[in-house]
Amino acid sequence: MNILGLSCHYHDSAAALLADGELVAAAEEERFSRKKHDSGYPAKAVAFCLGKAGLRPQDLDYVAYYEKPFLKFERILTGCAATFPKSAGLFRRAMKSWLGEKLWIKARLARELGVPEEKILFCDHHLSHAASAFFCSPFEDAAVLTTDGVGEWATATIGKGTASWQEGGKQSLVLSHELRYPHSIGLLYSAFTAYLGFEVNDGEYKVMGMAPYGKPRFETEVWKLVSRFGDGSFRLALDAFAFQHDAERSFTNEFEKLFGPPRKPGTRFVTAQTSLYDDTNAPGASELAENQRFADIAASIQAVTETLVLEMAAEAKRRTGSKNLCMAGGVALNSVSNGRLWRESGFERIFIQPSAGDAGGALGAALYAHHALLQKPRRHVMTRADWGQEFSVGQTVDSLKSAGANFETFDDEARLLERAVDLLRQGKVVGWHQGRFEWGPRALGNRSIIADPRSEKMKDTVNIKIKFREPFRPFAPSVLAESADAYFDFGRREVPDAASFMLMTFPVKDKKRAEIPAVTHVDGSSRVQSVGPDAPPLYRGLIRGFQQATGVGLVLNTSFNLKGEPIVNTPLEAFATFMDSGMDALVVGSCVVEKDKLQTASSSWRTSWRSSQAPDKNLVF
Amino acid sequence: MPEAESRGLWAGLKAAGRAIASFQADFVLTAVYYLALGPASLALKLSGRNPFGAADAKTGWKPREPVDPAEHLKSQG
Repeated sequence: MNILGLSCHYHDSAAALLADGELVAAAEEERFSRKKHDSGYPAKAVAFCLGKAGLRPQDLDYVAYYEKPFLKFERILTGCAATFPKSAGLFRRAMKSWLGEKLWIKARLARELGVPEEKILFCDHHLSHAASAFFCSPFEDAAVLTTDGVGEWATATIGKGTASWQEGGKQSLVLSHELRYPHSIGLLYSAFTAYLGFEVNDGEYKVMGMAPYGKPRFETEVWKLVSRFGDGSFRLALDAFAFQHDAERSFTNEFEKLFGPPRKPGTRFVTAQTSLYDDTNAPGASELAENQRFADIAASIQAVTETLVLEMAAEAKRRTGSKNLCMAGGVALNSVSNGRLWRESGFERIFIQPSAGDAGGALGAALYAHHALLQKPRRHVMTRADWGQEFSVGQTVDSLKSAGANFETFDDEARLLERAVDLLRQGKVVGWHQGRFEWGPRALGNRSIIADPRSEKMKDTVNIKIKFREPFRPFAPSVLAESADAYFDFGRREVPDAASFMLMTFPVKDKKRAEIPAVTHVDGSSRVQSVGPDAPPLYRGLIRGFQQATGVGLVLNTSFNLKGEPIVNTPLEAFATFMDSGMDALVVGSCVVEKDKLQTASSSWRTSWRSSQAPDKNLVF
Repeated sequence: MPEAESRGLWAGLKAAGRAIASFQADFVLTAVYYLALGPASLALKLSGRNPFGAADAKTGWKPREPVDPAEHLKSQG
């Protein structure tokens, strides 16, 4: 039984393939098209998934799409009617897109894939989210909480899943209650993302990273926008928001009356605690005060979000009585609120799969079809995130040769690791490209940039010279699971499941903060990736090697991309990104490239390769 | 005409065509908005139904109807 799950036409389109209930492959289209948050039909991700399984489209039993297009269209029309006459611009823009393509998704999928329309299924957006979490979790029974901007009408749901690994066992996933548009925790957070000068659906994690520089002194003002009912549900004060009638603007003048003028996109963010690095333009008192206001607003919306998520989780616990929680939806990527859930919600275990946002809906739709429709027993627990494309030694070597790179090849893994550890110890920043790329927005040791976490300067170096991004952004550590407790305060004895996918933030233990400053955020927190026995062995070996050499069982890990670009996929993309950045070395497969040993041929190759790599716009249908 | 020039001309014609189509679509959709959604909005207001949820509600949670997976997955709406 082969089921292809698809998500597309909003943001982060993706494909995932199940063969007899086992996940074979899952990938976001942006990794292939090189267009960040690509929303088009995921033609290349589909081709990759089918190729990985050795299938043709006609071998598919079902194609499961991650939402209900007609219901979503109805919500948009109703929303425009309810906000008439302010919504004229939104209506025109939405109708062009919907009448042009989105309404005809069934026929288009059938045509693109060459499958009969009867094989195409449509799973409710939040049910897709819920299934992506529950049917990947290790639980037989769990409460489910989904929270995002909006799907069809729902913006959050709670429910319960029951599953069995035995043939004939009951598979059930029921979402019993929902919050409805426009009352949305995701849209609330996104309005602040826009207010703070970041791009909606992209900059939310920047707000989360900015928050620790501030104090939540605007929390009272934020609560004026949110009326709580005492059961985890709430209403937004719609006068302050514009997203329900405006495609360009998320908030109104009422919002600005509460918080002051918004931050201009692209302006530097500098407070008394942020680094200036090599910026010689020292900020004046007014710039510092203005930026501190933005940091305080970020801290305030983060604090309110955490409270709302905790209250929703409490309601899910009350209604289901389960000791386990599965979470999905874009808000489930808020690692700070997830960390608080772990410490304070009372759930014994919490599972969040690495692609908790809309891309993950592709996997969820396929899993729902497999388990709820076909009543097939559980086969899959997601313990690792590497479900993307991989490259052979031969392909890697050919790629590097084609780029004119001179490199060293290590046939012996132990020697390769020894070389990589040596580079890290010397303070070098290393591109690390191994195995299959990760599913979801986090690099977890297969497409990562890694560095020594002990260096005070390393955070600035990687932010500014390597990734060309804002100096306030924090970095995460990849820590050996068995060493994690020595560095981080999990609030309990065990390390949470979600820490395997870098989805929770925890305090760094006081006595360790000075030891690992590059991965300790300004508030002493860290978004931990626990690297356990299920993680890729080579990555575990690297961290173990670093521990043996330095006594520190963790490395700094950030995604292998430059600001504004998708994470790299191929060895050539890795090499080009390596050349475009200040990285010192690249370990790709068994090959090691060092920048100071490179010949000039690589530089001219880089220029011509980059110019040939414009994102492929033809993929959007 | 040399190939490069004819390709440029064709691209220009296509861009002009898209601009005209976009203007036409805006015109038609604006008319639809005021002629169809205007009355719908009025009817909505007169009926007293608020699609964004009643202001005096006691909770924001709405119960969801149980679904039969087979029926649920078949439908686009």
